[in-house]
Amino acid sequence: MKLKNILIGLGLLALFQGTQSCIDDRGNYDYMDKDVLLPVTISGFEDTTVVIRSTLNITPVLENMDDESRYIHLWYAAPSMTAGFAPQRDTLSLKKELSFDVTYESGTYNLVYELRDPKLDIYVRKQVLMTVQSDVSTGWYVMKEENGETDIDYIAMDGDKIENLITSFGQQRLKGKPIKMVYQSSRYTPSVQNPDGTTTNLVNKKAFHVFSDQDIKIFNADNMDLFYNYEDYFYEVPEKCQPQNCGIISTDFYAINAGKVYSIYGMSSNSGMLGFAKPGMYEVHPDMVMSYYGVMLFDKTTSTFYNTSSSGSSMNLFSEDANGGISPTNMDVDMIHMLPRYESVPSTAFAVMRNKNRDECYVFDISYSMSDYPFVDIDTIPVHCEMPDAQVMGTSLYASCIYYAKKESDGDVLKVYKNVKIDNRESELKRFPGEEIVYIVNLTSSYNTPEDEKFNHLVVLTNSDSGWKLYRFNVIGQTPEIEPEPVVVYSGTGKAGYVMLRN
Amino acid sequence: MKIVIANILIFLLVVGTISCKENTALEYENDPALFFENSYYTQRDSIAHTFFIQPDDQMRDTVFVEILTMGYPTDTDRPFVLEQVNAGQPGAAIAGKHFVAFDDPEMTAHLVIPKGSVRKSFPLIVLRDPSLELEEVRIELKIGENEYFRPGIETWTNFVVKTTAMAVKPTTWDSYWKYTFGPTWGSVKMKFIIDNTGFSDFDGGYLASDYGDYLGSKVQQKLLEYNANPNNPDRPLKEADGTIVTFE
Repeated sequence: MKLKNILIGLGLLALFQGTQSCIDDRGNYDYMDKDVLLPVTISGFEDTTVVIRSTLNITPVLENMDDESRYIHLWYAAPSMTAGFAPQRDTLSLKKELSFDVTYESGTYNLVYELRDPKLDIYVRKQVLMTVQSDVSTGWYVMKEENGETDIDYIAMDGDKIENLITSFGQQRLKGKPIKMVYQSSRYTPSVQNPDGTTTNLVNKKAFHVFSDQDIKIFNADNMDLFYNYEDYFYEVPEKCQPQNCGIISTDFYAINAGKVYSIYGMSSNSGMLGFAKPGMYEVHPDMVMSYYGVMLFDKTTSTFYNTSSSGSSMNLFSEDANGGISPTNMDVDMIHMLPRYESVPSTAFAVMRNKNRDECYVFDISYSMSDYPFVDIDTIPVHCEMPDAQVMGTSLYASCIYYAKKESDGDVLKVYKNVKIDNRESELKRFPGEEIVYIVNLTSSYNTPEDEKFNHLVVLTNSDSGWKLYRFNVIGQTPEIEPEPVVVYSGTGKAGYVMLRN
Repeated sequence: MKIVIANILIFLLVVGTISCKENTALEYENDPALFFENSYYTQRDSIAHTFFIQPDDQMRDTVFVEILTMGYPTDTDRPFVLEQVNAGQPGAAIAGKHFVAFDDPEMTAHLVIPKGSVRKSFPLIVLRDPSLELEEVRIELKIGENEYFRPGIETWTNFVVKTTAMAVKPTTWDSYWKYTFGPTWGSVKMKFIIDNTGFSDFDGGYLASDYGDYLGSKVQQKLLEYNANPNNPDRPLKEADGTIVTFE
């Protein structure tokens, strides 16, 4: 046989092998355009924003339908972003028209309408972004007392007001008078009981920690659902219910109850409950200064400054001054007030202290950073100054001064003590005839506020026979001075005790 | 040149033909066997049990030993054999005295891998004999062989259960509990923890971290109060050898 014939034979064999290898390939189909199979188009709704507790109504516009009754309709939603777990689809309706009572927490969700042809088992869908907003958001939260119970009046940034926030959302008021509330913007992880008796650990919730002098409640900051009452907020309920202070910095939460310090370390798994108080035979003053590393406190029993952290169990002493300055341990002073200024690392504060043995008061200028010696300066207050006797004090974020309320027969007077080494340190800022000042604080807008909305306000909360008033005064530059007339005044019923700015 | 091309074509043809040979999957050959579970998060190679953390009138307790199977599950129950290999040796637990014997009618129902299952939490019942107040005894276990199972992974077919009525240092004390209660361990400290927190499940799983913090802070506070109370004659609290109890 000639070599040429051999080559032809081999070529045919190779061709046969290549051909037979395709015999069982069932991967070839006839292709049809999807618009031919299911030509329906969906329109009539786009990205939307809804408010919690409102109703979202949508009727989709369907075109190129043959027989509408034979199709299957499905509306569902799922969070557009999740962290650490897969988004769960929530079926909203099996009808063409959607009528959805918005019960979701604030956030963004993918809202999907799906129209399925059951005969061909194929579908067309339209997905839009649904932004859910809470009607309780940034703004001013005034804690007030009525009939021996505490509620909250909420004023949004645009001035809209929701009175009695707690009761208007169907919750029980707190017993007693307002102490303080804080807003936790994320990472609250309460454990909630399901109807079948099991518990679920919720993740990444926003929360209000609300303290009165006889009660504590933790609410969902989106919809005011109750997470915890005082009785279930502790692993072991303290014998004495005397909430005195609370605060949150980053994800670490601190609380003082009956002179004992509690914390929640936000960087490890937790149930959002308070454990056992930091061990020690101490009883701290209700005032505290937080930093990103911990909290600074003053023990009334030993007149000693302590610091502790949210993750640690010990109450730590501060270092002594290398230059022989006054010791922060076993001091001969009592604390009148400790007034936080800027809480970060380090944190700054003023502590107004009274000598135990003689009629002398001091302003301690404090820089708190872990256990480092905390006193920057200690200044003796001139004897004739009235600031140390004031019931209500507040300080400035920028100026070295202490605002205080002076009681006079026709109403309280807002005054300022300037922390400068001159004899005449006190001056009057504003009179409030017929009103009692109950809270003074210097608050500023958040860093991301538009330039034309930024503010630096001295906020003064007063009570009178007609209810409470909240005054917002412009602070002049970085001085202690304020403009004489308030930028805005809010008012409401009841006796206010505290105001929180959520921004 | 043509011969070279012909050889190349022949080579490609042979390779192409060989490469088309049907590919068959490897099949598992069923050979049922048993071994003791050995995991960082469940059990290692032994369990230390003590009646110390139980009420004084509790005379029996159960130690669960995790046993895993190899091979396919079946739709019928399969008995298995568990043997004590140190019987009669010094320090060995005595069946009927320190634990319920495996041939006792109470135990035979538990020596079974249930149908459809690939694991068994075997309940070894330990008995509070008075001798345990002064000693610790060992039950050295081995997977036996019968018509249903052979011993499985060789290094995990032996297991030890120790029991006593004296305080026993939890096996995870140095790797876990020391972060809650401090690095030192002693029987007085152990009893103080149990008496003041009610917590005694030291061989259970890990705790939620904030609950662990709660326990740690509570015993620290209780110890401070104990040592500050003049009515406590042995303050500061000490172990039998004089070591002062601390939780830090």
